[in-house]
Amino acid sequence: MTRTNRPEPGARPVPAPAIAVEALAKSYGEATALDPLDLRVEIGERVTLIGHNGSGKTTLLKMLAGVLEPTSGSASVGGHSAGSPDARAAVSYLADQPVFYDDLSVWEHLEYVARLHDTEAWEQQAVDLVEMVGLTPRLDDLPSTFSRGLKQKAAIALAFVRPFDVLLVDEPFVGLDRTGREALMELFAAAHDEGATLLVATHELSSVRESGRLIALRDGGVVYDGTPDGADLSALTEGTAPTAE
Amino acid sequence: MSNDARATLREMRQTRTRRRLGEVEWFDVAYRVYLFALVGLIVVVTASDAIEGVVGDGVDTDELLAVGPSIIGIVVVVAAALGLRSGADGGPVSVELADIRHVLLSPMPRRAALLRPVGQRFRSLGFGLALVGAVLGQLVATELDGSRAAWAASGALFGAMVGATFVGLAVLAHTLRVPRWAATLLGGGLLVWQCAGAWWVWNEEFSSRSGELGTAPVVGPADLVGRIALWGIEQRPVDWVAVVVTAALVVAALALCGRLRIEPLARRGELVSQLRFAATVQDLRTVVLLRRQLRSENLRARPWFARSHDRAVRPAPQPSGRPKQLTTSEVSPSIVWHRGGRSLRRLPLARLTRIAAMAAIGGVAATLTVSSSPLFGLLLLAALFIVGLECLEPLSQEVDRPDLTDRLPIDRGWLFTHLLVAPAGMLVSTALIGAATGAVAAPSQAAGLFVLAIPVAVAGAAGPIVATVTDAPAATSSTNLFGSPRDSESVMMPPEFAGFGTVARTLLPVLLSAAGVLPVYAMRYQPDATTALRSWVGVALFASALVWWIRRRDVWGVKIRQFFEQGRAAST
Repeated sequence: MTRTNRPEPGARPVPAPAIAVEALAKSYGEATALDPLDLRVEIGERVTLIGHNGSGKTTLLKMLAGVLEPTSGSASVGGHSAGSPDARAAVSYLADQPVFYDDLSVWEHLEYVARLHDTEAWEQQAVDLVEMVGLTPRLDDLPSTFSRGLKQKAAIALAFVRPFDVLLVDEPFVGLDRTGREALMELFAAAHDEGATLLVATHELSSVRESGRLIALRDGGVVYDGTPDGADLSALTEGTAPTAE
Repeated sequence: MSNDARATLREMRQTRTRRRLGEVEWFDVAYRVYLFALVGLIVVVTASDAIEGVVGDGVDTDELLAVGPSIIGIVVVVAAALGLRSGADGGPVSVELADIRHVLLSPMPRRAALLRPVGQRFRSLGFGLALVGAVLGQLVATELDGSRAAWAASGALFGAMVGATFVGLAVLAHTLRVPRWAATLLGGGLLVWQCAGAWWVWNEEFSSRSGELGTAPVVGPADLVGRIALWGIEQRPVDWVAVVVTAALVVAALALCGRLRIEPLARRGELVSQLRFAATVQDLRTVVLLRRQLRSENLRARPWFARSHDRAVRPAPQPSGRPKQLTTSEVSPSIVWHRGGRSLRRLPLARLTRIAAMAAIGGVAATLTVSSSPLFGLLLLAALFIVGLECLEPLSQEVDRPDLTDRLPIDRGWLFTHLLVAPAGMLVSTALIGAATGAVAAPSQAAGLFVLAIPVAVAGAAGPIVATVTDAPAATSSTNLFGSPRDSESVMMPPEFAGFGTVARTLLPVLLSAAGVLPVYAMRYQPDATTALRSWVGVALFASALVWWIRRRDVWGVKIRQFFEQGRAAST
């Protein structure tokens, strides 16, 4: 599909790198969620983030999205501090738990989010998106009453209906049926083709090969950073892999 | 970008408001408002005419002007301290999770999105406390100089200012990222300052200068605000300083609200939505739990002090064959007592401090109930109730986990009663703290305080105990006495009875805890050894009945159920 509302690559200059993380750490009292982490993701990269439960994937994504505050270190998106208005304009965050208003329909959500991001001609974009994820018959229903899978589809549509330069995605395949998965992979590919940077955290190892770079976290630290080819994915997610390259 | 986004936000909020209003049953709302207003008016007018000595026996207008501002200022300082703590913990506003995800993560200025929830918080708390202030003004109007309207207006203004102080300081503490320890230190310091000032005025200045209008010195940080509450008698131009400072606080909070942090907002958003639901269904325990989570008051990972039986012990080898099936009579109650002790030894410092503070407040309130206004009994009741709730952690933990409790091969009533042993020990310690504080405040009442402290604390915990135990799901059946599913009780019950049941369920624990205040009232009117002895006997009987009810509750429930089932079977 064509993302007509999204500026062509280069139309909105984003200083390199797309994501820069320096000594970023998060802890809750004595519990460490993320050890000091350095990371650099260039514009247009498609990166998959894997790791066992509690390895720090969600924490990293939330700090990049500006939802969590770092305990120490810094994170920037497109040269802007994570959570700042410019960074928020550049980042679309598809969280692991979809959240909706109880009193707005799918279409109203799409309109709201699109207009909050000053999206032009969002209607056609929204129609195309709901068609892709198979939500057209439920367009006027309340997403808060949906099943987990349908909620995820609505959340996907919301993440893509607005312009972005960096897409942060956390466990996007949870609850999705085959149609939804295919639609999502297609949307990822389209966004990547248009020059967006993708950082996708997932346990779905079958999707890892689509990305150009794989980062594995274990116990809050990076244990692998390289190409997916040749990586022992099972070992990386089980936490038995050798330390970082 | 900004203007379009703001317009979108405004438009969508208006749409949602219209939709919500469209779903409102206006006749029903009007009927409720009418009932509330009518009953409220009758209660206030009747009470203000009927209650005598509400301000305190022997205190006249001049004396009130001299000592009142400092004492009333304590209320303001408490609100300020709570506001500082609330802000340090991420308060005072909560935002819908969807707003956080879709609006606050959008590039629009956050102030535009947060102005409304902050303004709503100011309005709701300010209005609520203004109402309380106006009612209290009405109550004192009959005994003091000044018209009813003047007292109502000054009470309302004072209440609104207390609310504004709480919200304003909370927003500032939040946006300025005041650490929790600093907020506690600052709030505590203000409180100590104000209390010391009130103490000094009461003991020194008041005794030498009583009766001279307008000579009360300003010694506490909130004395000027305290004077606003007395505008029913006298207004001074300097008092406007308090109004201006409070207004400046509101303006500063509204100006800085765009800097509210998203992480605590998200955490609160999730918890507050659960809290509202729990409050709607009168689930006291859940409300308490969620409020503790809001304040990040988690139980300590390690107890304050360990005892020998806390250490991990490798179990002895079991003889081959099937493990022995235990019954209630074979279980040592000490196991349950120790479990209770372990729970209480993990209470965080904040809760221990609150328990001690409530005990101290209760002690002082008890002395004032005896020597001053009987209305201080309400303060004592509140302190007793809160202390009871805080001390019941072991019992609450079991009640919260029926799946675990019901798996035990022991009688639930037996378990619950033995889980009260450790809290009882804590209540005794707490009672002594209260008695000691009261004795310092009123040395002449020391003997009475120490004699009655324990029965008062124990009886005062009755309400929280009943509220907690009745939160436990019925062990016997998922249906009510009429054979309908419990979930459908409220649906099947006529609204008049459902409303009565709700009120009774809410008020019963408070009424039971009021038993703790009765010995203090008895001492007010007949302060002798016989009264103390009677109080001990009365509370002992009351506590025994309570324990017996907990112990036999399930058994009685089964018998009553069987009776109804037999009746239904016979009729079909």
